[in-house]
Amino acid sequence: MFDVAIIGAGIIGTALARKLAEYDLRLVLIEKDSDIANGTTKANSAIVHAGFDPEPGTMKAKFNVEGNRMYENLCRVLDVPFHQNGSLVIAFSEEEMQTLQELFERGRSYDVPGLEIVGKEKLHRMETGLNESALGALYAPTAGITDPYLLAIALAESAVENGVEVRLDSPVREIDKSGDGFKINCNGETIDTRYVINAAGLYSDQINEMINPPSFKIKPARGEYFLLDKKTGHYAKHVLFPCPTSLGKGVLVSPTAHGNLIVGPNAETIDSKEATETTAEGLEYVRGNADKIKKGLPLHKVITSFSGLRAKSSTGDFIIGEAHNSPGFINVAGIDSPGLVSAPAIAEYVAGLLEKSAGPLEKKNSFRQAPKKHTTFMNLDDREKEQLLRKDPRFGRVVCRCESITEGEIVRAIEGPVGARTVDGIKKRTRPGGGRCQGGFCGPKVIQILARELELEPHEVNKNNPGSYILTGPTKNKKAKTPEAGDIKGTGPAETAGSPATSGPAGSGGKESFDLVIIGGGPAGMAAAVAAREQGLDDILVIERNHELGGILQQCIHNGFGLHHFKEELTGPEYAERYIGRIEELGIGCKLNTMVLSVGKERQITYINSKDGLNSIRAKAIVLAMGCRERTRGAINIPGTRPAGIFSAGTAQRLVNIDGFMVGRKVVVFGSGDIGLIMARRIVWEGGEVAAVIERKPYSEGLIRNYVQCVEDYNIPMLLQHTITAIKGKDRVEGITIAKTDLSKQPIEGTSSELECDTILFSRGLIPENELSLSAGVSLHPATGGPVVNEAMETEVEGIFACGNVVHVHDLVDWVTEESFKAGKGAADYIKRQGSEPGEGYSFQTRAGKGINYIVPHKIRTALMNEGIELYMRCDGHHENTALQAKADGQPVKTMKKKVLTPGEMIVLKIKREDLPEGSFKELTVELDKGEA
Amino acid sequence: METKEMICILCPLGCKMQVKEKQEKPGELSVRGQQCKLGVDYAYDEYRNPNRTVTSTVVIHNAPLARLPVKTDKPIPKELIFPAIEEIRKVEVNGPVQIGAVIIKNLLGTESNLIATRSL
Repeated sequence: MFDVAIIGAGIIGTALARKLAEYDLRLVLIEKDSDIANGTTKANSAIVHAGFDPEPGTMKAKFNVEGNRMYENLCRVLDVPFHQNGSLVIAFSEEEMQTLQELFERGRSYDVPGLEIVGKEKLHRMETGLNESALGALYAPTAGITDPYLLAIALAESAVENGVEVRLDSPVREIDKSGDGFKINCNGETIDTRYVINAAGLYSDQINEMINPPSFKIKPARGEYFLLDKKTGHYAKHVLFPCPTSLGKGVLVSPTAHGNLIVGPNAETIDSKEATETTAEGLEYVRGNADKIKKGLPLHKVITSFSGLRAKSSTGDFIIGEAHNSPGFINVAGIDSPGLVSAPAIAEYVAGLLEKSAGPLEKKNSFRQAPKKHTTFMNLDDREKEQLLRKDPRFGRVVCRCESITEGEIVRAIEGPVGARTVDGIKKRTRPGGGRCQGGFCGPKVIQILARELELEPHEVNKNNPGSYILTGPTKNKKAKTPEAGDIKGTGPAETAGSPATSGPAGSGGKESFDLVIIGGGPAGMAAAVAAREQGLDDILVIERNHELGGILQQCIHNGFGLHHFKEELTGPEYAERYIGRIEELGIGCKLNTMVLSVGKERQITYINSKDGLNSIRAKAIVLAMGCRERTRGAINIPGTRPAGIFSAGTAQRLVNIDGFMVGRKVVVFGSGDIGLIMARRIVWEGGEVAAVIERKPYSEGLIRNYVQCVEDYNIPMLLQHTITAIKGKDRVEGITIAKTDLSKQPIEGTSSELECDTILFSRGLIPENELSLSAGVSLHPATGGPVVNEAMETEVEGIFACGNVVHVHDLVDWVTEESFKAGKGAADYIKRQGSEPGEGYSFQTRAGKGINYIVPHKIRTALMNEGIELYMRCDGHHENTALQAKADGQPVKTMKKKVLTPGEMIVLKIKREDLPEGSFKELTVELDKGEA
Repeated sequence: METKEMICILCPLGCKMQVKEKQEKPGELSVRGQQCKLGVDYAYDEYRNPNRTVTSTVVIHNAPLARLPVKTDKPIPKELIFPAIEEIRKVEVNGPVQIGAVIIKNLLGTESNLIATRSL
């Protein structure tokens, strides 16, 4: 027999559980979902409101102010982020200034501390970049931002450490009165309890009606949000609100507790309590309104959009109290905004209600205030990091590169008192997948770690609730025959085992400086290393984050590589192995499983691995060769739900080809890039079905060969000039809505249709991954997204070179290799020259003219261009019977006729020294001539 | 005689060609839609003898990874792709395996071997 059963493990249920755990009570926390904080708590603005907003005389007014006072202490004790950055309600008209005055007076009557009406001048000083028309604001210094799910999880974990039992995956089916208490039937288990607290959020009316006559209704109010890249957190200093209206507090702009920027929500009353999808209209509304507060919000840096449902009660206020007909049954319902801030105050109040009903409660001596600390490895100081690493080398393995989350943190999140059991659970606790790649790189690793720690098969790992499976099962038939010894010829012992390129991180041996350090051991890094060695440079180190060299080639098991460079057709792994062989032959040192964290001044590189720990080394020159990442669904902004079954094509490729798991049964590929086309065939070959390849443009973006051999060969429908307008499915993808597109690639109204599928692969382009380049102060080119480079592939920071997909996205690895030779050679030359000028000559810039999107390199020094230089470029559309024309300061120097040019293929234009004019010139322009688009 | 629609894959033009065996001269093809003579050669190959390289993975034991990438060392007839995939699905190997190792010799009598495309 429990004393109290709390139904619902959102912020309210968990705050209650921890509060009541202070007393000598037997408690159980019952949650229908697979994790804590899985409903409204998971998706809201995360604002700790100051408390001037609620109507006088309401519970909202009372608990908001009280709750706000408790937050700082609570978050400190629980080690949860809380930043009291203050809020500004901004007025754009005299009428709104009047509203501010009313809010100010209301707030003062509630004793909201520090309220101030600030005039125009002060406002624009406090918060820069506001729209000029902002006249003034109500400043509330006690408002702040927190992480609601970290807080709910910390509350639950503290509750559990103090004896509370938790039942997850336990939807309540029935509640009956029995004797002096209640019987709760949840998920086959009967829970006997003296008291019931109904904190079931959106479902609290249904729970109430299991035992009481209807007395209130919960009407979901949906709010949609954008979350922006961490680079954008500084766009707002305070929580910025427009003036409230009858519809609510309006679209706010605020930094988040993790340094991102959040923009939203709209407010829409809806019928379904499951409708957590985003909508095109909702997001458009948010976009339009955000602009009103601040100009130039970087909405192109959106990493994801989401929606949350607020549990709005039919009374408009919180409903907190014992049910009239059922003594011992306490409703804590209708907790919409300001519920998050009110939670600790509500918990205190409900403890009081319980005492009123049950008589004085006894505090237990054993209550532990502070739970076990969560460790965010990267937030520790260097000494603490070292200590932790020595104790547990898993903190040296960075799993999530965007948020720098280590395996140690992920394992701890699983081992916690209410440990993560799902991919979303890991994301909530430690944030891998919450960054800009949205789990593209770390997702497969997180699945592996969860499977290992929870002793599951990887395909048994769910994204969230049951039914949200990520993988459909292993590829290949498990009941296959094992070959007899000798069936396979030529399989000697692996000679490569233990060699530098395939063993674990090579210890630095205390070596603190190198001539050349290459960051990234994919095709670009390997070729740069080989070229530098061939120039006679001895002291080279390649740093690779993966357990082996080869980069993305290792998962590209299809053929079509090497036709230019090796003059034969290879698969990705074959191409990689040739260069791995070269690296080994040349004895070039490599650190594997090693993540570079930053590149600082004077070419200081800070890296981490489980052997050296956290370490810094210096280099005379650096080659950046980190490659690229995939554009995600979030960045493309497709509205709909966020179920399992959405992958970027490259992530799916890794899961299928390296890990050996199928990603779905009926797959839609969105985007017709080569990876998408290749994956369509892979899915068919592994026994899946491809329902369609969808492309917004009128033509396929990939190579013709891939279209014919991957799509046409298997009669896969190719829907050109179509787009996905919505994704459907609660746990797993169930289908999509598609529509035809117009010439600007936008959906045409009235052309929608539905398509059933369980999986969507996004093949929507690649983005050079330049976070490290930025840390090194390297400037990026807006057209390529990669560093600005010269003919030697040197960036604008002296001694730092770059090559491969980190500079611009290539179509063929062959070009990556050739470009990277230049970088390796350039770096070796630079070290040999020791800072002296490269000899006689002048330099000129390149410029992309009409029809050309970009040219690499951007600057050429004639002293170093030898007999000539290759210019790599991409054109802006499909052109037939055209010509490329190069002009030096307007004077034609070279023309190259082209039967056809497409944006999918890199154009290589060789400019010979003798093509150039006699004297010096400033700018070499390449443009398309006579193109038939 | 039936006309086959075909897209030439030899360059980004991707000429859409109509290919038909000449009634009066069996064995000779009428090819339309190509913009250069390479298209005719492609049409002959693709009409008479459409071949594809199959790349996939096989289950591997005692190795750092669970799957070994493989390919047919010569293209195989298009109609044998799915039977080949079925054979590939059935085979399992033990590590270590060297790149180029023959996993299935003379796959389905095609004179193409299934070989490992990496060392593992």
